[in-house]
Amino acid sequence: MKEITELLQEWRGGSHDAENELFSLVMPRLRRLAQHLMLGERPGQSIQATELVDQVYLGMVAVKDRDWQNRGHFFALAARAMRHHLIDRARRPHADKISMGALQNVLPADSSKLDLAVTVDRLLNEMQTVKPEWCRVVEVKYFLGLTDDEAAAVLSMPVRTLQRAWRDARQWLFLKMEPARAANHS
Amino acid sequence: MPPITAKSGLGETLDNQRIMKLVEEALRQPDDEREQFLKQQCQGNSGDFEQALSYVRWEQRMQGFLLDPVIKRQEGEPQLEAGDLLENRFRIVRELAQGGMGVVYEAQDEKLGRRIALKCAKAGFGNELPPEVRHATEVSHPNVCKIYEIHTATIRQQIVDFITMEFLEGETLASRLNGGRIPRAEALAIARQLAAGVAEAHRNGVIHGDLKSNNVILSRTIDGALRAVITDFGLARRQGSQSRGIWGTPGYMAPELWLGDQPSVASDIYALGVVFFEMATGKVPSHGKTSKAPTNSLKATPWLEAASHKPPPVNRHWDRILARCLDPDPKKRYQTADSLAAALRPGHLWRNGTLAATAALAVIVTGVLTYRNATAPAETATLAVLPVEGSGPTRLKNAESEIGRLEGNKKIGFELLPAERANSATHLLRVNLASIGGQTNLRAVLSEGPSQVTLKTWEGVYGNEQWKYVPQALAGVVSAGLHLKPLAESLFINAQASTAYATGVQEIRQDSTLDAGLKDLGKAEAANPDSPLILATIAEAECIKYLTTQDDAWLKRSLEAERQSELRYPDTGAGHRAAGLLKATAGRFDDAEAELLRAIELEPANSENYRRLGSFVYRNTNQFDKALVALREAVELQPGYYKNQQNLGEFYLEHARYKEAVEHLLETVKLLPNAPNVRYELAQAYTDAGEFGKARQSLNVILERTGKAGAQYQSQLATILMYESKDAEAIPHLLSAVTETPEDYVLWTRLGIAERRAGHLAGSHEAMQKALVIAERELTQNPANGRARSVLGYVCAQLGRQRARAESETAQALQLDREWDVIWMAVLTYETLGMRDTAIALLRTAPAEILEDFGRWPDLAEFTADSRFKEVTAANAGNKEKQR
Repeated sequence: MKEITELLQEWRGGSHDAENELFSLVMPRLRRLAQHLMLGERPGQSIQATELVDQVYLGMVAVKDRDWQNRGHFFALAARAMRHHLIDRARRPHADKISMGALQNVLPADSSKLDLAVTVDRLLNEMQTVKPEWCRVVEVKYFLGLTDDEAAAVLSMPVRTLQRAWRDARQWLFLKMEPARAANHS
Repeated sequence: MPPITAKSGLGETLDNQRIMKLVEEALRQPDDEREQFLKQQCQGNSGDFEQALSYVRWEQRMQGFLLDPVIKRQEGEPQLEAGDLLENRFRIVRELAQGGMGVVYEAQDEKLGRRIALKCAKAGFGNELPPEVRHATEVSHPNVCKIYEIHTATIRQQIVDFITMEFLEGETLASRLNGGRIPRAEALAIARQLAAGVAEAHRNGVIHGDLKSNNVILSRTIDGALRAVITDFGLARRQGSQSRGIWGTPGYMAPELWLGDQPSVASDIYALGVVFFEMATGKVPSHGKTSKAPTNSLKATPWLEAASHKPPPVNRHWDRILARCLDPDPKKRYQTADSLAAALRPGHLWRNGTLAATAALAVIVTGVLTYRNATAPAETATLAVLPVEGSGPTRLKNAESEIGRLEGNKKIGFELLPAERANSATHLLRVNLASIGGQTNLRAVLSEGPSQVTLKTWEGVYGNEQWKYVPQALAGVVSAGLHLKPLAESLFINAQASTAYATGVQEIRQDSTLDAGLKDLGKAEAANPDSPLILATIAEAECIKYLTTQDDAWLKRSLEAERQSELRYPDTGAGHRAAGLLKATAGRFDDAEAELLRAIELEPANSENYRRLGSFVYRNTNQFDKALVALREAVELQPGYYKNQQNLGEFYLEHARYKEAVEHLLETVKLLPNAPNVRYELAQAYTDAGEFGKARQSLNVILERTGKAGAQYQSQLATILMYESKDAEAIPHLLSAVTETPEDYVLWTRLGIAERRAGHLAGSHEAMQKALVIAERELTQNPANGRARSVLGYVCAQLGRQRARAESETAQALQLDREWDVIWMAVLTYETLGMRDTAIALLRTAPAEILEDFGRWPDLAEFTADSRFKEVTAANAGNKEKQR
């Protein structure tokens, strides 16, 4: 069984097998942890997505491997995981009883939001082939809800560059969705 | 998935910077004014205008598309809006920035009618701000963002903690850096200001914990001068959440923080180093690949691998500073931000370039020059003494007249200015008095005028009868801080005391007459109790006594004598020497170095200053090039003083330069014929140099003179015999030695080797096993003992059972310690394990003499016959010459 950091590296290098393996490792943790945190430990306290991912990160990556690169990758992975989970959930609407547990409290109950997320996900697959560098920006900004500063830190880019990429990506997605939006509003 | 490159071209980064800023600002304007606004801002740059306008128009069209993330940011984080009024006093104007800890707003303090910045604590931090914040409000310094108060208020049914602070206008250093490197002079000025600010905070017990270029704002003073301000002091610590968590901004985190240590002075200094690196290069340093370190991790282990990956060379001006700020070992960094600030002073920075021996000599000997030039970029230092703070202002009338008597010298002039002209002085002296239980606590701070970089801080506790010393003492603070000539009075010794003093000074230089010296100095003191010089020498002597006896009582006496000396005049050569020794003993090596360098300035011909610098400071901080230069200088100045020769000889011995070691140890023996321990060292040097006959001779002399054949004698003799392949003869000597010192794992190991070579396998096994147990025990007490670990590795390999462990222990040992003893053991271990290539690799930088030594050790006969070993020997033959 490979180490998480090795898998992260391979995933970064483009390996789909690594990606699958990472998800199977990370998802149960995210679920369990969210439940643990939400339901008992800290009444009255709320949790940010970044804290959540950080906790999972600390629990899964050995001390000796914790450097800024690995953390960034891990965050990207978590964003991906969020994205995929949502899509799964959207496709199997009645399966929410066995999904993320308490984490669903942080996820949109609103179905129109969910639909939007599903559409964005689909479009991201297309974006991957033309502007791959924007995909991760969308994942951490939109799916994971990081602020500009947090996203820039996680993706290791200057803040202004991130902001521009985010605007560009949104424009691209907006354009792609325009016909659909026009249809909805008419 | 391809990575997002953080390395956009410089041009692109600049574009993004400009355009996004424009867009952001434009979007704050009312809709219909945006285009006009952009036209104004862009002033003819049509490229920028078009791009920015395009983004603005898109934003208007998209209407917040995707700005509402899938995972909501949790409620509890107060979203303040423009117009909100907090505590009936603070009106929010606009949001300025989002930080890791909360949101910063511009606000108007309607009560006081001033513009302020207001920071809201984030949810997840509970209702309490970290206790550090309260300290942070006490820090008052131009380079630290002033925190006014901590408040709590209710807004929209939520309780909100917030902080009011100084409003700063200007961009962050990070955003300035987005435009590329900063010109050297400016970067240096910023660096000095940052170091000064951090130093002041540390003095108040506040650690920043999250220093980064984003937390520095570049603003201006009223007269337009640069003012770099650090924000978020003491706020970066998380409160309540599991503090075992690792927290910080990755690129700025010192290695020990990754391992779970709490932020500290050292980690702040590391972060400063990163910021300096950014300024010099425009990039954040990377840490390379983490190693596959063994998991029973000693605190420092994983990062020592990265130690070889020091920050990439930037340029000769910054490299030295950066290397010390960014050292993975927190103990090797600058120990205080003050010493960092001192190192950043103009003359100092540019003159102390490389670590080459010749340059190092220049540092030490001309340390005088650099210090003087550093503090006086103009040719005259002008000092103003600010009005005394605290109790008893009128009691210091005489201080100014004493200070006024200080003289400049060829390199720097000195002039005392009246207090009213403090604004135009190059230096300032601040004095603070506090009455504590019948005594007065005096604190003096000497700083550079405009930048407020502290040059010297000094404290003294005076009883009433001692108050008469204060004026001169303050003059001493100034002469020390500005490197002037001290007042003549400091060197004065009256007629009654002078003979006893002169005798005492000579006597304390020999260990055999140390006690007599202490007595004579005591007599001198009784005859002349006002003399700072006598007391300083007593402090020196008592410290030497402490070092030889390890009795704490002597340390206490020494500290007290030093204190008393300083109360009278804190700038005597002897005083600095004593202080240097005391500080080195306490591990404060930077301070010790400063003391000794000043001692050199005051007494450039006193070899003790150089010897102490080399032995106590540089050797202990692994600055071996400098240590060598200092020790050599001592010998040159006074070759007839045995300690000079001995320290240099010992140094050579430790660095596998055996022939030179012999030379100086021989001298030592001539000067001190009755000291057996020196003869042992000489015997060792001869042995390692392959001169077995002479080694034996030395041992025989010891035997004759002392009549005793102790463990040291036996073990050295045994070693010689083993070199000569007479292992059977060596065994009884080793047995005798271990009877006397059964806890010496090295002896047991040697015994094991001798037994093995003599064919007694059972005996060998038993001895090695004993060595293992003892070494393990040592390591549970002292896990960072590289030598013990290397021996453990060897023994494991020899016992044949624990190969993997042998490798791992050896690898760890090498990470802890690169001394030749450790490498020697490692080579033996790898050879036992059949890893000859690995062993050879260790010898890449080995001096020729140790390679010859390897050649004589019988157990390594095959190893040294190997052609690869011969290649290394040939390649390193030049090493001997290079090191000279």
